[in-house]
Amino acid sequence: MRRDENECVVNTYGRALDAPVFTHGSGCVMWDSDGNRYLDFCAGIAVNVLGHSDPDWVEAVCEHAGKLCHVSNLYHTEPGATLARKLTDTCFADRVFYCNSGTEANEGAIKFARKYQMATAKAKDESATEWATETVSFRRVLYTGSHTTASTMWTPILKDFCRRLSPPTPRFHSPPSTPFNAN
Amino acid sequence: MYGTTLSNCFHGRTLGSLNLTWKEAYRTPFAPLSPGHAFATYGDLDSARSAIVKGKTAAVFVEPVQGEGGIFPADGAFLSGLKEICDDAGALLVFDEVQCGLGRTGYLWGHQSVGVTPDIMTVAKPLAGGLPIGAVLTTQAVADAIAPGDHGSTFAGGPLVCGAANAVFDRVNSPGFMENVVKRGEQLRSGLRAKLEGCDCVKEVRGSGLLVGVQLDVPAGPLVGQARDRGLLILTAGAGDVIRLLPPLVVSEEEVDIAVAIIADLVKAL
Repeated sequence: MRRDENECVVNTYGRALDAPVFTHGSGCVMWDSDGNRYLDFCAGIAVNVLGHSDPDWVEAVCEHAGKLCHVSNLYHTEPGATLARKLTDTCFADRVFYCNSGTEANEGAIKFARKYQMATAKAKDESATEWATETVSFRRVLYTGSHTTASTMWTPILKDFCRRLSPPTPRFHSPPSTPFNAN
Repeated sequence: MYGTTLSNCFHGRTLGSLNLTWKEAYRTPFAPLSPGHAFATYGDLDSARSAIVKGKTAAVFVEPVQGEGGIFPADGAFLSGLKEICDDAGALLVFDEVQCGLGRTGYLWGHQSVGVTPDIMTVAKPLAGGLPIGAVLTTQAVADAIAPGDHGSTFAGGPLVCGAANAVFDRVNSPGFMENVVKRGEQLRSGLRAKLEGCDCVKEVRGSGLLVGVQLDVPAGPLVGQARDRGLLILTAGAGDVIRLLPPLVVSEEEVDIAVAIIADLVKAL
């Protein structure tokens, strides 16, 4: 396994060569290929909310794998519609768009927001050619006494980083010139 | 004397989402990214007001409970103020609940802990309990703007993945499930606080439900390998100085005690 990974997989994760190879799990426990047991407080980075190999989950996966796995979105299937009703019944939302990951969901949200802004602008004025297209997100500034020295080192790096982002756009503003602890 | 660090919001690594993701190391090798994005400061409504511009800002993305950035519970006053700013500016408010959604915080959705609703919510990680899935949940007003052909995905919403997701949702939404999340979360935080009392390097134990962080003033990275050697898998967050704990939501009382004991031993030995 290790040779196959080292020779055939793009190294984006930098896993240590001697890190465990996990082979199976049950509930909150996983085992590696050497039989070592681990209590899993990662859950695959907040993914495995029912733990590993939960019986209800396994039953559902086996049932659907044995019936119908994938047809593309050319056609109707039932489970997605049922899930959409459950999701919209339990929160503010009225509609669901499915994709395959968190980053895809955020990409979809950017597209939906831009289309919404376009539709809104054109509803007011059919001939509109400009509308809101930009985005804002948040970083958190932490104030800590013990980081002062390390943080001060990074101020020139932060300023250089801001200059190197090109081209600066009318709506881009540099973060305040506070120390930045890059890791 | 105080210094500051800037911690990461994380919204993804594909090129569009990468604009929203703070961490320099994730972004700069792939420049130029799209123009037209600004970062404001979480918790600072003045910073938000200055970054969110009517006629320019289409959408504002925020994690109501920050995970990658260091485990910070939802700030109701900030989120409510942010919603007002977005509404005034005509910008859509997007809550990224990819990590904190579906029961992780002790509420079905993280924003329900502060009663502020967005225009769009993105979810993913736990939704199908391990199979790849994501979802964009929108108001009717947003959905009305979307026409056939605007967007799509070959694999999305298939019967196998959604079959798994239905099983997960039914369990998470079942009576008593959330009580365990709340109880185990409180047990984890109070257990850590009690055992780590007096440790100079521990600044705070915080979190919501079973999204728990231990803020250190030293790097938490070395503890990951040490914990693994002791049979416990943990993560880090923030500027690398936060121990991040994300057990399955079905974790037991005994398992929490074991984790607390191992973490306490390792932190005390720092």
